[in-house]
Amino acid sequence: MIKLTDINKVFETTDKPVYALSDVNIEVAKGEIFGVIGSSGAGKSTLIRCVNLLEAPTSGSVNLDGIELTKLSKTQLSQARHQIGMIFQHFNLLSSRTVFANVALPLEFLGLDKQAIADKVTPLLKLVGLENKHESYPAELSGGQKQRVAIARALASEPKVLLCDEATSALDPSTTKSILALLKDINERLGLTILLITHEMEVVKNICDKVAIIDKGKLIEQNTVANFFANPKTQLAKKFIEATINLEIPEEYQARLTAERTPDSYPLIRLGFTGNSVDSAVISEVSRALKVDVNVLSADIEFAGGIKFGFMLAELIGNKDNTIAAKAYFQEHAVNVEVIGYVN
Amino acid sequence: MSTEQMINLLFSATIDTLVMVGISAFIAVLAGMPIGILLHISKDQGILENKKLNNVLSVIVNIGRSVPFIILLVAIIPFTRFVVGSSIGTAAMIVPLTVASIPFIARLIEGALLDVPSGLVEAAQTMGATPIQIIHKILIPEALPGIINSITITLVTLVNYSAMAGTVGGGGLGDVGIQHGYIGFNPTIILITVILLVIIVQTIQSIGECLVKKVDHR
Repeated sequence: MIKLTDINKVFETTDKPVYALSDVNIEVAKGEIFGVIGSSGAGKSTLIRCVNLLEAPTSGSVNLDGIELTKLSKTQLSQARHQIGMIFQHFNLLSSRTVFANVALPLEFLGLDKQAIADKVTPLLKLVGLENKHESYPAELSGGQKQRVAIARALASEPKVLLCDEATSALDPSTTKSILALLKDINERLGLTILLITHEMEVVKNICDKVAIIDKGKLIEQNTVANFFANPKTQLAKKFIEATINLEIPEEYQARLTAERTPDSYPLIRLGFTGNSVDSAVISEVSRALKVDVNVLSADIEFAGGIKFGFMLAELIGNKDNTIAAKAYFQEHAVNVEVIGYVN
Repeated sequence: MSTEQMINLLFSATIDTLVMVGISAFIAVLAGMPIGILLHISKDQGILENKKLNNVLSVIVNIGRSVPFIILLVAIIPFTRFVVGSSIGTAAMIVPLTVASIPFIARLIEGALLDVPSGLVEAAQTMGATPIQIIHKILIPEALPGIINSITITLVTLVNYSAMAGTVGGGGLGDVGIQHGYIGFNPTIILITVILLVIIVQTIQSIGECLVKKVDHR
């Protein structure tokens, strides 16, 4: 549906050119939700703005459903843009227009008459759950409601593709969840292709099918979400994944931690579950077979893209040979084990 | 001067002032608004970026704004004569008032448009809007509170300028104040003209604020 090939974007500044994007290749299939994640300044905004040519790439091709956008005239591009909806971090709603009139705007641009506009806007506002807010002004709405209006507006011209430029970054966590759920719902119901950029792994984890990491204008890793969480290849990918997981050694344990094993101390281990880990009850199996008690201190196991991943912090209580055997058992089941130290 | 004479004099002077201010403001808005819009959209990163046009317009507007009104009044007498057929009288005063307020209002409207967040224009572009549609459906409606405010300021400034109409034999409250009040040594007339001017300015300002409140949903 969207195919970006060898996209380069160079900003000419007075002292030296800035390479915002270098050889970016992305292909988003129809009906897919594709997420691009990166830190601020990595080039993700420039990337998404290249898709609807708000920013013209210096070189490369932008193909939307078989149409090469970079080759279009201004008028043709205006036409093509009706096929690409976009929502923004700061919503960009017109303060002078009611909710209804905001959603009607793209239809007015298309030259539809009043009746046709009303016939389209009413079901859209219902779809986003704002059927009783027709006559409200944006200033009277909450952030989440504003983004819902923006989504309805973006869908009004029945686009094939929806671009989301940090669409949930200005929202609180629970509102973010509800907006993501709405996007997922629209994706499933309308078969809409979604390309989103974000700096939050939560967003990727929640709704994306595929993900790409952008760093300094380059896509350094690209995969399905499941494989991405299972086998992050780059340091940055690992960092992003770890950032979603909160696992710290409790202070009380921290104080009792020693580097060497003494007769009456037990290993404190960190278990890492990835998509490769054998999906079985490893903890109970270890306890039963090897007579090692596993005292879980904290754990953060999540589910994303159909796989289980996460970390667990635990104390292995048992004699030396058994705990070593337990470690080996975990490794056999492709659970990463790291001995942090020994506690007594 | 009898009281009745005085009332008649002040009444017709008030009408003169209102006519001068009203007509020149009307024409100035019609001419100044497109200039203000052009100034805004031809700017760097504007929707119809055009450096040359922007520079030319900007210089013309600056010249217009830097000439003191009293000098402009005299300097454009030939033009005034060409337009209204005479260089004296109330009608003749409308020409310089209009000429002076066009660049004034153009800059104010440019400023009002500048307050429209660029994200809105961008959003409209993503919806495939043409430049005309952006001006008509985004820029003007979103800047409307600022535009009304600009017109209010222009009207008040015009009331002020219109006081110099006497210089070219025009009428209005300012002229009556000077002719009958100052030169004719009639403090009552000065006081009344000032009070009337204050009332006019207050009324303009209140109506302006009221309208802004009505259209402002930010």
